Parts: sequence; C-alpha cells; structure tokens
Amino acid sequence: MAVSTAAPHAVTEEERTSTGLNHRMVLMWTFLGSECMFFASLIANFQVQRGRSLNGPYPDELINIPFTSVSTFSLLMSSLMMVLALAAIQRGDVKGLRIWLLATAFLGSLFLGGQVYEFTGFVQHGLKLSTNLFGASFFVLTGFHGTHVTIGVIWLMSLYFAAKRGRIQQRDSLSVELAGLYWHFVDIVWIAIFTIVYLLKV
Amino acid sequence: MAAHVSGEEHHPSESGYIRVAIALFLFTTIEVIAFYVEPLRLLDLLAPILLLLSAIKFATVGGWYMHLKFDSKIFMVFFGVGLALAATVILLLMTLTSELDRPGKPFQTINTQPTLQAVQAEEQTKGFTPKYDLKSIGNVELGREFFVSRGCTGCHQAPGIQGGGQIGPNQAHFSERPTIAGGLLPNTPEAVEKWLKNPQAIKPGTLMPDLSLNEDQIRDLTAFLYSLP
Amino acid sequence: MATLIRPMAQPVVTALPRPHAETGLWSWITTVDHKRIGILYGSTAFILFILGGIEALIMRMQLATPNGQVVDADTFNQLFTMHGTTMIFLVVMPLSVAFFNYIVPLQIGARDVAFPRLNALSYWVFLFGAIFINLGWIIGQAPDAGWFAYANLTERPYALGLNTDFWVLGLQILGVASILGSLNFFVTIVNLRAPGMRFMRMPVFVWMTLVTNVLMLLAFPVITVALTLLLFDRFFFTHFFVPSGGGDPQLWVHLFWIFGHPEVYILILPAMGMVSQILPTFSRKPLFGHAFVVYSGIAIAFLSFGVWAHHMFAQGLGPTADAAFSFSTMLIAVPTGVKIFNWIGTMHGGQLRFKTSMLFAIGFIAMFIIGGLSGVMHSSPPADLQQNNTYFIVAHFHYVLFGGALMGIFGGIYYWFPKATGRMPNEGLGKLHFWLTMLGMNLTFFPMHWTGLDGMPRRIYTYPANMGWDFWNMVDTVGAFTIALSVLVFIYNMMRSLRHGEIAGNDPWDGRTLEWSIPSPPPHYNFAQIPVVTSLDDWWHKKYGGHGEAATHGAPVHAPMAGASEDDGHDGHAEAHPHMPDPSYWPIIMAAGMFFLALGLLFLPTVPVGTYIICAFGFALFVTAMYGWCFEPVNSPTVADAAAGHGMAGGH
Repeated sequence: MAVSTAAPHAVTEEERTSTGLNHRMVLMWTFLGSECMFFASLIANFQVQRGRSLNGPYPDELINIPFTSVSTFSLLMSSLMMVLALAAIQRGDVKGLRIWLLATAFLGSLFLGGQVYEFTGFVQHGLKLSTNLFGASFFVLTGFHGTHVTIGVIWLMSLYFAAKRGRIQQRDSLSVELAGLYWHFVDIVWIAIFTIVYLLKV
Repeated sequence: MAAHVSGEEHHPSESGYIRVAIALFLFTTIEVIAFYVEPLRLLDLLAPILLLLSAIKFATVGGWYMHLKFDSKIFMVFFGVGLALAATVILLLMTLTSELDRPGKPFQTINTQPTLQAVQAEEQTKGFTPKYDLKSIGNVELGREFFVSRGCTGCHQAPGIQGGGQIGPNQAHFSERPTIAGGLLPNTPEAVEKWLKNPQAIKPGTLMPDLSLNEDQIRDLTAFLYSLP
Repeated sequence: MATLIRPMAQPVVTALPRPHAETGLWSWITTVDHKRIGILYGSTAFILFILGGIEALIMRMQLATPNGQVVDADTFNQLFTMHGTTMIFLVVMPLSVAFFNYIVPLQIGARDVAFPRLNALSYWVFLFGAIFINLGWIIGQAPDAGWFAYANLTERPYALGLNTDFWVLGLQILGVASILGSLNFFVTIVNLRAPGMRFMRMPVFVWMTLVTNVLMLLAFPVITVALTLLLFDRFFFTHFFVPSGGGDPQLWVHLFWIFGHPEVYILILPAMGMVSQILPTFSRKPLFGHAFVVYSGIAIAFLSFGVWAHHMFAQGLGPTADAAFSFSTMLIAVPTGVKIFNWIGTMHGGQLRFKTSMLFAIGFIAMFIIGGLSGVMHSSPPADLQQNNTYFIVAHFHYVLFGGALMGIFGGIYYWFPKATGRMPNEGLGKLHFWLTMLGMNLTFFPMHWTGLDGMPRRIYTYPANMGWDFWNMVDTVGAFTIALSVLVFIYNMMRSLRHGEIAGNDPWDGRTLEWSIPSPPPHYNFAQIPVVTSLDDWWHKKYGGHGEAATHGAPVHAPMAGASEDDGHDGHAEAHPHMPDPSYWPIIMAAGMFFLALGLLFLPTVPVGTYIICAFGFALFVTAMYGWCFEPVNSPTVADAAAGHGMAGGH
C-alpha cells in the first residue's frame, strides 16, 4: 500500500485486511466493474436505436471523424500524463506530481472543450435531444461520458490544489492512484465509444 | 501488503509508459485510417478490424496504465466480471431486439430512405397554401415536435406524422374545418389557442386533456395545425 | 465515494463541529456504527412493511366482493403499484440490508464495515428515497404504472401527472443507496474477515450476502440507465420507448428485466442465507454440504443474468429466444433444488428443537418449494402464455417473496433478536405468530392459483359477479386479514420481549458462528480481541473441541470466555479500547442534497425556475457534504492516534 514506505511502525489493527489489498483499491475496482454495466447499458441502447431514426439529421451528415480523432488523442495522452503523475508521487516527487496532474486536467479539459464544440455544431445543424433517436442516444451516451470526464477533471484539480498545499506526500500516493484508476477507466470507455459510435457504421 | 509493495516495484518505468502511449497512438491512427479505406468496408472487414483494435487498446490501458497486469489478480477478477457481463448484455440485447423486425444482423446499415409516410405527406403538401401567415402565429417546426413529444399522436393523426390514434379527430385539412372543439368555437387561431390552453374549461368532460403547455408552445402548436394540408 | 485527500493530522477547519452525542436523537442521526445502522434499516423497513401491508389490505377489501366500491380504478392502480414497489424496494431489500449490517461484521469477526460513513450515507439515501417515492400520496398522484412500469404506460400522453416522475426519481435515489451499500459490504467481506477465515470458512449467510451484493452491483446500473432513458423521454421529449418516434417500448422491458430478474434473487438469497444459519443451529448439526450450498448460490447468481426474457414470452420474441430462455430458466431451478435438498439433509437425523425461528425456517422451505414449482411451470412458454398476467403469477411470486423471503427474514429476526437486544423473544407468542402467518398466507395466496388458471387477470380493480371467482376472492381477503393479525401479534411480541423478555446471555441458541461468542447486545467495538478462525463453524469447534459434530450430544467441553480462545495469540497487543470511527453529520446532509436534487427535477415541465432553485440548493448541500466529508478524518484529531495518518483512515 501507498502508506507502507513512510509508515514508521508495523501494520496496526486498522490497516489489516484479509487480502492484503487496501480497502479503497478494492472499492475502486469493484466500482469500476459496476460502472462497466452502466456504460454497457448506454452503449446497448445506442446500438438498439441505431438506424431507427425516422427523420434526419443522420450520423453520416454530422460526424466529423478528423475532429473527434484529435480529441480522442488528447484523452489518450492524458492517460499517459496520469501514470506519469502517479510515478512521480511514488518517487516522492511532489513537483512532478503537480505538473503532470495539471497536464492531465488540461488534456481532459481539451477533450471536454471538443465535446462542447461538437455538441454545439450538432445543435446548429438541427440535431437536438428530441429530434430523433440518433440525437437522443448519442447525446445521452456521450453526455454521460462527458459528465464522467468533468468529475474526473474536478477530482484532478482537487488533488492538484491539495498537493500545492503540501497535503499530498509520497505516502499518500494511493489517493493519486485511485484518481488515476478512475481517469483511465473514463479513457477506456471512450476507446469503446469512439469505435462504436463514430467509426462503426456498417 | 508485502506482495502489493513488491508488485509496485515491478510497475513499468516511465519510458515504458511512454512506449505504451506510442503504441496507443499508432493503434488509433490505424483505426482512423482503416475507416477511410473503402475496400475494407465493402469486404465487411471494417467492423472486425475496428473492434479488434479497440479491444487491444482497451487491454493495453487496463493492463499497463491501470496496472492490472502487475497488481493483484483479484482486481482483474472484480473488473473482469463486470466487463464480461457488460459485453454479453450488449450482444444479447442487440440480438434480441434485432430478431423481430430485421433478421439478426448485429450492425445495421443506417436507413436514409425517406419513410412512406414522409413521401405521402410531401405529395399532399403540393399545392397547399396555408390560410394564415403561420410565421406570425408561431414556429411550425417546434409545433410539429410538440405534436409528437407531448403525445397528441396518442389520440390524433396528422399528415406527415407517423402513427397516431383514432380517439380524437384526424387533423388533416385542419384549416378547412368551420368550427373546432366539437362546434363550440369558431376555427380561428385565437380560438384554437384558447381551446389548447384549457379544453376542460370550454367543454367540461371532453376527452381532450389539459396538456399544461405554456403560451409559446400553444402558439407553435397552433401554427403547426394550420400548416396541415 | 473515494476520498480525494488524506485527512490531516492537525485540526481541520470544517463547516460543522464534530458531533459528540452518544445517546438521543442526534446520536442516531450521526451514527456510523454498523449495528445502529442495521437497527435503523430494520425499523424503517418494518414501518414501510406496515404501509405496504395497509395498501394490500385496501386492495383485498376492494376485491373481496364483485363490483367492489371501496376505491376507484385510479386509486387501485396507485395501490398495487406502490404495494409492489414498497414491498420489493423498501421492505424486503432493506430488511435484508439490516441483517447485512448487523450480522455480517459479527459473523466475519470485524469491528465495523470497511467504510462506516459510507454505510450511514446508504441508509440516509435509502430513507430519503423511501420518503420521496411516497410523496405522491400527499398530492394524490402516487406512481400508478405497476412496479415494472412498462413503457407505454409511463410515457406522455398516457401518464401526464407527476405519478411516474415520483417513481422514476424515487427509484433513482434508492438505486444510489443500493449501489453504495453493496460496494461497502463487498469490500467488507473481501477485506475484513478475521484471520484464518478463508472464503470457504465463511458462514453461508455471509456468502449469500456477498453474492447478493455482487448481483446488486451488476444489476442496478442497468435500471439506473433504463430510468434515465425514461426520464429523458418524460422531461426532454426523446423517444427511446415511444413507437411514434421510432423508439422501442420493448427495450424498456428488456432493460427492466435484465435488472429485474437478478433483483428477484437479490430478494431471496439473503433469506436463504439466514435459513442456512438457523437450520444447523436448531438441528445441532453442521449444514449438510456447505460447499454445495455456497456454489449453488454462486450458480444462481451467474444464471440469474441469463433468464430475464422469460418475463417476456408473451411479447413475441420469436421461437429461438423463447427456447433459449426457457432452457436457462429450467436450468436455474437446479441449483435452487440443490439448496432445498441440503436444508432437508441438514435436518435429517438432527436433534431438532422447534423454536420459533426454526419453525419459520421450515415454513420457508415448504412455501418456497411451492413458489419454486409454480415458477418452473412458467418456464414453458406455452404454459406461460396461459398464466401470464393472471392471478396465477400473483400467487407464484407471493409464495416466493412472502412465503420465501419474508418467512426467512422473520426467522432471522427471531434468531438474532437475543443477540441484538440481549433478551429472548417470547416463544408462545412467536409460535402463534408463525401459525397465523402460515394459515393467513396459504389462505390468501393458494386460491389465487385457481382464480388465475380460471382466467382472472391481475391488476383489475374489480370484476363482475358470477365469473366463478367470488368465493375464492373472499377467502383471499380473509387470509389477508389473518396475515395482518399475525403481524400485530409479532409487533406485540417484539414490544413485550424488548422489555420483559428473559435475559439472553451470549449464546442462547448454542450457536455455531462467531456472533455468539460475544456479549448480547454486542459492545460498540464488537470484539475485544479479533478472533482467529481455524475452521468452518469456528465457535462451535471452540466450544466442543476439534470434533464438534461428534459432541452433539454432550455438554460443552469447556465454556470459553467471550472473545478469548485457547489457540489465540496472533497479535501480542490486546486492544481493550479499539478506536472506532467517530460519528459524522455529512452522510445525512449529502443524502438530503440528493433528495432536493430529485425534488427539483419534478418541477421541470411546469415551473422550470423552481427546478433551478431547488436543484441548486440540493447541489450546494451535496457538494458541501462531499468536501466536508473528504476533509473530515474518520477519527477526530483530538482522539485519533498516529493511525490517523494511515492509508485506511482516509476512508471512503
């Protein structure tokens, strides 16, 4: 566990766990397992509604692959920044942690900005939530993913400010690891969404 | 605990993380390029290739960045159970919902053909000029949206709108009707707005429910009704 | 709700002072003790049980005679919807959760659950959800689309009032409570078992809790999404389930039952776990085939995700799907049957003591067999087409849920009552309660098989005379009031035993599992010293030596002291005053925030500005509580020792 490097004394009763794994790590992984079902239901809904729209605009007319590829890259690279942040704090490098956290949050915000731009464009082309089933299922699926990214960015910024105040040391690397797990999960969900929603048409 | 700490020491180095990032970058690039290669699509190869590539990316991020490859196998089990069930549910639902109306092919082509109703509606519209200046009443398109979303189609049919019930009158040729509200009101935009605002007050016991629409929505709906051929 | 930041060792500026009350109302509001939260869950669920029961009685009064005039059709719709929703989400589930809370930490030898404040949050969210979903009664617009709320009935224009909005938003809140609770119990069971308690040494009740929580974690996200889609249909005019917009009402049915069928096992598995504790104790024999019971529980959980479409045979899925789901439904009866044989095998040749909880456990087996058998009948699509939507179905699931789940839970209440209160329940009244329940439930639900096969549809608010249903409907109503009488006897028994019951002592039933090794009621910290577990039914083996089964007829080899065992000595430092987590205000504030967020949404179609104000208030509460929580240490700095700086202290 994260604390072990700095803890001056032996494992106390409070820390003992049957599996040797930290409670919060187990909680996070279990939560992510549960989240899989959440996004699976949304993706299933998108797939079921595919091709059932009674009127346009249809996906072909709106989806801009080059643009979305760029925001996909920015989210992918934010995952790299995130592991570097974790590696930094595990070495005890608080300054490195802050830099990489900021980079992660920046790339995440870039992705969000891209999503806002994309949504605005869609609305201007006449696609709203209630226009057709494509609009409804697209906005709900990517919107919920965007909400997850937003929560992630807030989480990362909270960590950043905590680190700035000196509240995150090497022994607290677990807090960064948990945020990282969440962030990477949001990233892999996007990997699935990018393929299924944007690239797959046939 | 000891096992976990030693496991952490085996996490990839920073250069390892960067190599993984380069691989992810390349895989995504291949995905995007494959998207533009027509022959792949024609041969029905695009979907399998894309799914395979994204599965590899998924596993890479999970294995290296989330440390699943290095941490306790218990995490793999917890996450894997959710993931496996998630994939199963998506596939089962796609199969089950596609079997009925379209013989079971999971990935459907997008239907860009106009529906029969839309074609018919367009033909009916030819040669029809509205009786009033619709723009001064409200927004026809929004009204059409409300007509469907607020459930008017539960009881009424209208040209250009798919489906619709037969409890209330068909709204075709709406502007040519002499009266509305079962003969209680003249057929003018003002009367239609009054009627839509509170049907029960005008004709107690009517089957027409109070739809709790606001003023703008009522005007849009009225404009839509007068736009009907 | 993982904490962002490790709490500081020095005093932290928080918006609220740390609560310190140890008795009285505030101590209950701020408690994080798993035993108190268990009692809160149990008593809240019992009050809601009475509410759901009253709804049932009004329905039975209406149906007692043909052309009944007690209530009108709209009220009847609200009654059966709220009866079903209440009994499933607000009674059987939280009653099971009450036992998870109270019993699981005791059975695995833990001082509390893994995340005590998260546990409190689950309860308060549940309570606010329960209040929210019942708010509709106040304005006469309670949910009225049935507990599975099929899509057409929940969409505008068929549901213009607030009825369905209360249902959708209320269930969303309750879903949050369930997910948080099950995350917590999952981590607790995985991580907080006493030393030596390997997975196969866990009592069956703990096992079934684990399985149930896995089911909740995997099933609830699906209903969350389904409810969200419905919410978008209603509030933002999408057409997910609206055919006129190209949507598919059947998709709702799929999503609902992907959640709904595992939900059925979420309701029954905890009761199965309780029965698996009661039968060995009162047979003085170990559970027959412990591993089989455990593995069949896991098999049920696994299969439960593959049978949902048997609720949809009448919807025209096509022969392939029907055949597949028919097969998987027949298959899931196998592990269930395995369990029944194990329970009977446990009693076979045992020294049976027919205490009240034993009677309820045996009643559970008998009634559950009837309900299970009528369930397997539905797995055949042609038979199902006949029985679908008739009172036969009503009879089936009441045998499973009342005769099964609730009987098991009553058995559990009688079994663990001495542990929780320190006093014995009255046996005479208990047996009266049992026999009245048996009589009442069979009178009520058995004739429904006949009226159902005779074609009486469920959910009708009245029926004409001379359909041949008059007599049995009257019998049903008499039976329902018999059940009501039995519940009154139960309440009287509990009240009386709480004050005048015999003092129970640590181990009144000569139990087998760890909770009987500590005082009744257990101290705040449960175990003065965490026990070391060396076998299944560890407490029994400690009492009777290595060969507990051989000693069934003898007196205890020696009477061990509470918490101390001869082979103890794992960690040198005895913990006479273990640090327990301090109480906290944040859970109830965060739950209130969620309540107001949902309340605000109700106004969206009519008074949008109301939505913004109320939601902003709820959001402010939520965020304040979130950050307050993250910066609040589990133990307040003044009492926390050095341990406050450790990984686990950051908490939840």
